[in-house]
Amino acid sequence: MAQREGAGAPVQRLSKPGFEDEALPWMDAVYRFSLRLTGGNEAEADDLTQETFLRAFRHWDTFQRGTNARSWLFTICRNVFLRRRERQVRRNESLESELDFAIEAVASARVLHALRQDDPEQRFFRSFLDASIDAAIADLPDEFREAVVLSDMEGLSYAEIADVLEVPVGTVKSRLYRGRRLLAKALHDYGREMGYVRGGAS
Amino acid sequence: MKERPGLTCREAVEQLWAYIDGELPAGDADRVHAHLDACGACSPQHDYQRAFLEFLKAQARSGPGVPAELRRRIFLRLLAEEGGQPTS
Repeated sequence: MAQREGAGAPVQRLSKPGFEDEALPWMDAVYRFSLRLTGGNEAEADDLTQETFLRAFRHWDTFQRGTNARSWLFTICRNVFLRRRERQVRRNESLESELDFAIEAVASARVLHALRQDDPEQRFFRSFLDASIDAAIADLPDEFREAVVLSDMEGLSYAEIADVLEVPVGTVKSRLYRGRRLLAKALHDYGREMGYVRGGAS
Repeated sequence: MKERPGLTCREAVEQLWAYIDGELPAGDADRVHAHLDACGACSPQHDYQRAFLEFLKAQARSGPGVPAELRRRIFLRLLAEEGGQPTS
């Protein structure tokens, strides 16, 4: 998405070398990520985006120029968010050991297989309103939502997501595949409810 | 369906997401590709999983960008942070 140069377009320039060219172009992406993290709370997402860029600006000299500014910004954004929520990382670590990405990959494939049986023409994918998908994503548990948003909505690689979430790549995979499964299941259920896809009985 | 070089369906499906995501090493991706070419069950599954991801991606593209006012506010905040000295 192109940067908007509206009425409030700045005429001044920031003096820190590279910040405008490497960090600022990701403001839309950071804002979208903030919205997903906060479950669509615009005021909180505004604040989170601002805080992310402020911190990034203050610590710009620690950023390795030429590496991935987007992943770095997402990492800061998520850390700010977590610190605010004071979420317990330990709880997630215990969850991790129970997940195997190969098993998750197969489980998510099964859900989509079931959906394909109900809806071979993929009507499902054309029937949803944005709001219902946003709600389904917002309902995902944090661990899985983060992975799905970073991968499937923002297009980060597994390695980049591993950096942002500070977990091994295998954990990224297991979270991502389970997230996709939960999301497909939620959308499938909703699609049936709304008659977008056939139910098992009809 | 008769000949499935290398991989079983189970093995292919385990790697299918990583294959679609472009995250498999070349050799592994070739084996999944070969399996998909030969398997009438896994090939449509691959197409459907890919369609699901494209559906999600399309949702992301329709998502909002930063409100102009917020963009302006952040920029001003950063300017203030460095002393607010105009360079032009």
